[in-house]
Amino acid sequence: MTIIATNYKEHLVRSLTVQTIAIFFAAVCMLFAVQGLHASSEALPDSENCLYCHRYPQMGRYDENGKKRIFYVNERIFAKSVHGKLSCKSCHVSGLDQIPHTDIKKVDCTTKCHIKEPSTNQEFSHANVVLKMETSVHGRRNKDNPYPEDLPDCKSCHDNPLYATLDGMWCDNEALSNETLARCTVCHVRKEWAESFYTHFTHRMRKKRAQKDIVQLCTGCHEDREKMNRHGLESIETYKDTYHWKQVKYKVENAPDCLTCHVPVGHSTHEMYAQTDPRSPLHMNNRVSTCSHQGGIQVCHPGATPEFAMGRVHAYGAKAELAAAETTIKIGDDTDKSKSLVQIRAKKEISDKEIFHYEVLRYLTLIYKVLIGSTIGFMCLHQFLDYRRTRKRMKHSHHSSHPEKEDKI
Amino acid sequence: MLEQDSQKNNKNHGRLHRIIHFIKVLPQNMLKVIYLLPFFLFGLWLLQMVYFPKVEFKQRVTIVKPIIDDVAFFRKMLETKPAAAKGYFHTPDEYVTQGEHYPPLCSNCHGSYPHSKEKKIRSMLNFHSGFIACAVCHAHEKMPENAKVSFSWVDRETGTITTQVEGEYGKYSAKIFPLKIHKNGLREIFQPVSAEAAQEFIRLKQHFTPDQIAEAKIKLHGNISQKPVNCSECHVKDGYMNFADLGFTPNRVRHLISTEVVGLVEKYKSFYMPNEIDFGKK
Repeated sequence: MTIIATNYKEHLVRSLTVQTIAIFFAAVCMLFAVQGLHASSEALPDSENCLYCHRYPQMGRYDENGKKRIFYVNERIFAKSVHGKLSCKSCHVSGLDQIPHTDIKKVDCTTKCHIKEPSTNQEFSHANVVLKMETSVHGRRNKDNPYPEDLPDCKSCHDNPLYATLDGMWCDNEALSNETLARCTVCHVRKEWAESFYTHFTHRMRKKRAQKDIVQLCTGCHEDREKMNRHGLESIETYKDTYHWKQVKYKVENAPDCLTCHVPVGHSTHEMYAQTDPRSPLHMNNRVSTCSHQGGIQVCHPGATPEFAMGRVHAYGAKAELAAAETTIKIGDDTDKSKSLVQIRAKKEISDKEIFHYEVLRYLTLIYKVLIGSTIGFMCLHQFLDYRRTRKRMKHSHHSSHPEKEDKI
Repeated sequence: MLEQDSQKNNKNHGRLHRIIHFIKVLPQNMLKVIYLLPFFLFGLWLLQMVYFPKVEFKQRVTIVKPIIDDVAFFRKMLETKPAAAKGYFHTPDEYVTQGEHYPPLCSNCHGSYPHSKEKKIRSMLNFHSGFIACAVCHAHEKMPENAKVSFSWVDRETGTITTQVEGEYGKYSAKIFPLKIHKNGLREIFQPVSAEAAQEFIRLKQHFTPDQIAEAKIKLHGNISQKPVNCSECHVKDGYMNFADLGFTPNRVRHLISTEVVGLVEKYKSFYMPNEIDFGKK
């Protein structure tokens, strides 16, 4: 025990980060000692006895659109989730009093959930972040968008995440969590309460999703060509041709996923804008700082120049092709609305220089295709002719020569 | 005649002459065609109106576009890869997808949530399918008469009859099946629909006429009861199934047959729609 303790102490002395976090924790716990008194409503999960039916795993049905609806809630998993302290009715506000439930409204994340947010002592809701998201490029309040049904809602990206503890963040030492928590409970005698706040902070201290998961999440929509065409966007499968993706694929630490460039330090995932918007990290004025990624865990290209930053990360795709083609597409017909949108955007966003680059790239690709095709084609032809000649010769020698005689050319 | 002969002799000269002539009169002929074509078409249309009025009528009838007019829709269903976000807010656990030794044959056609008719109770009926085999409720009328039938747990993993069941509230390591008990003590799982027959039906379905399909479906479901077991037939004292024999604790048995469950069930009894409506036959 003593050996472990000394090792642990040494570890703390060595690791300045851990110590800083610990101090931060003490401060946070003290802050909540004052604020926490007001945080009153800690509803027990299932005080409404919803689990009477909803704890059965196969509870569910197919809805009117044929979508499989699972009505099962694992109470143990839910209790460990970030919403675990909420009662069902905090989010499912209507239609629950009747069995079977009728007139159910879709859960609205902007609902005030009667838990007081300690810094303001106001009832908590996600309204703030929802408003930001709704006015961003992914938001449905963006009236220019002809296909609002394609845009994501909260659930498109979020499920009910489980609290992550401090274990495994810096070391796989469960004792670290226990000791940190022990320091909190010195003052905050209600262990359950202390644990809840402790897990809240440890959960928020790091990115929960792996880089690959983020790429998978974004590509879920952004690789759908049909969907992207509707919005005048390029399908982003070309990201997978880049070195960035190779790093993500082979799990290099701090490898750049979609959010590293599109939401660098100081920006929010819920506030993403078109690259023509000056607020976007990919706006021409902000690109140098985005590539260098100063202030992030990984400073990526510290010496980035404007020329470097202008380079395309996603290779030339459908948009450049359309801009270069100069074909006219009827505007007004509903089916062609999307195509015309792509073209309008392409013409607006792609410079002549880029179109020239695209043309060069296209001819290079063509030359290589012809070169490779003809090389292999000639090889096949040569092999075939060689085979024919050999066969002919063998036939000839078989007919005319005696087995004792050596066949010489 | 002499001229013609000489033209024949001088083939090349004649052909050239004809081509030149053709080119010369081409614009003139084309103008004629352009001028006459509308009259010709108009005449055809008039003739058709007089002699084949039905053709005109047929052309005008079109089919209203159905909701799913996109044939590619079904192909796309196959290609759609599961999204990264599971689409379920409340994280489904392994109990939702856990496999079993005798996977229900019925779900191949009826889906994993087979109950959809009774809006009031469909979700509740569906959760029963997690721990009760379909045949328990849907083949009760057709259970073999000469042999004794009992209900027993069958282990999800091994497929063996067991009394050692772990878990609670639908999360059991086994599932309740109807067993046919022979006179020599041999116990068999009673399966109302033959798996081979069902597979053969699915294989041959596309070759059947609509009437044959209807007949085949009735034959295939021949061992399925007209009326399934009702909620209150089970959740009652001395009901369809002996909960105590199945190994439920006395407390749980009391709960299963309690006024709580029965009350819930009784309340729905008025909403219950029988599968088969008797149009005054009896």
